[in-house]
Amino acid sequence: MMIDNESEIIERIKNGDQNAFCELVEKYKEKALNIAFSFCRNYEDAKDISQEAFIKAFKTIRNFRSESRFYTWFYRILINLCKDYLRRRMKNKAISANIRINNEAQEEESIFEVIASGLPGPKEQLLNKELGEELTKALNSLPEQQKRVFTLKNIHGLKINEIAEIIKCAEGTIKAHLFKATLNLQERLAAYACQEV
Amino acid sequence: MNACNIKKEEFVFYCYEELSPERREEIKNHLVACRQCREEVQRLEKTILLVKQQKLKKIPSDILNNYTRQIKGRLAADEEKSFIPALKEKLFAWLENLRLGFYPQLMPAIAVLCVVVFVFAFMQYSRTNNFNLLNRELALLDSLGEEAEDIYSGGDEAGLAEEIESSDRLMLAQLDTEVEAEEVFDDAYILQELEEEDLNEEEVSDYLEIIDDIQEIGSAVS
Repeated sequence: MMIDNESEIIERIKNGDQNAFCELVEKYKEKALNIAFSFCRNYEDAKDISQEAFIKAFKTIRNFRSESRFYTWFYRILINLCKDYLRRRMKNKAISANIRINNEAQEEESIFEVIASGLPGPKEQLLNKELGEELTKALNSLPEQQKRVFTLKNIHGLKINEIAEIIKCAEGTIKAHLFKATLNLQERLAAYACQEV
Repeated sequence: MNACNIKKEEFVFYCYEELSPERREEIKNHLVACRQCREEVQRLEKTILLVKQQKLKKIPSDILNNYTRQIKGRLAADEEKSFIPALKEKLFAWLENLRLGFYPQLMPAIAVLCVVVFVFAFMQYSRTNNFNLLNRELALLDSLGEEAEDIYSGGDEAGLAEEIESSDRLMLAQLDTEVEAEEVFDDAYILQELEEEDLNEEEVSDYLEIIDDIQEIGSAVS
């Protein structure tokens, strides 16, 4: 079903219309899952976090002002829940060595798909697989805020002003994080940039 | 900053298309002429392209398929759990409607009205409280007065009257004595004065007779 006017949908949700809310969920669920997955690296946790974010958005929809876009408001809720998740996970890591080992393995898991189509041979495909893994490692090596900003900008396609609204930071701060993250990654991926897959 | 006086950050934001249109045009024109800057921008663009070419992993279908239905289920479960939050939400909604129903200019007037009503109610309460207190005190006095009257009325009237009379006689006798004493003192005072005047006995006697006459007239008048 096409969503013609998002503000109308939101007005209906404010009046308690759950069907209108479901329309919004269908529109944003994949993006929400991808963002949550880029933080927690497993789909079960990503599902729980993103669903919790939608439920919280439904219950607090009265706080949403139509001056801003719905998805920036919703993404703020989602990212705050992701941050809480990471904080809880760090705490658990300190308690149990087993969990720490598992989490390290999860952190190494790539968030990128191995692209097979359009590439001439196995060597190129392997290169692309390595690139995905190297990129994941490079992202993980960034400080948390740089990683968050870089991911939202390059992987989820948000603008700097939208990222500033979501993370509740000045645009200048977002630009500074993005600049540092880009230079760091340029350094780490220099070999791949030369080869040009 | 390079020799061309363009900050490296500007090259990064040029690649991300986050510069103002005017600045973007300036840098674009510069890149046409400057090879060093052009190569730096190309390196940056390659890195960004490497990232953007990567696709995120496909979300498993079992996660996506029941996603919305699960959310609906959780919402229904939350609604059943507790009645109070729903009541709270309705109350907040009603308050919000009430707030939106008022023009903003009315709010200060309503606040002032509330204060006035409160002060008036407080003053009324205080006045009523004081009035009641006063009534209680008067009632207490009345009751005490009645008690006093009872005490007196319940007593020995005849004996009380006799006692009052005897106390009156005592007082009168005391008064007479005082008067006589006063007269003796007056005479002594006059005699002293007369002696000082160096008068003879006949003159002193005359003066004393005159003083007696005056005193008799005075007592007759009173």
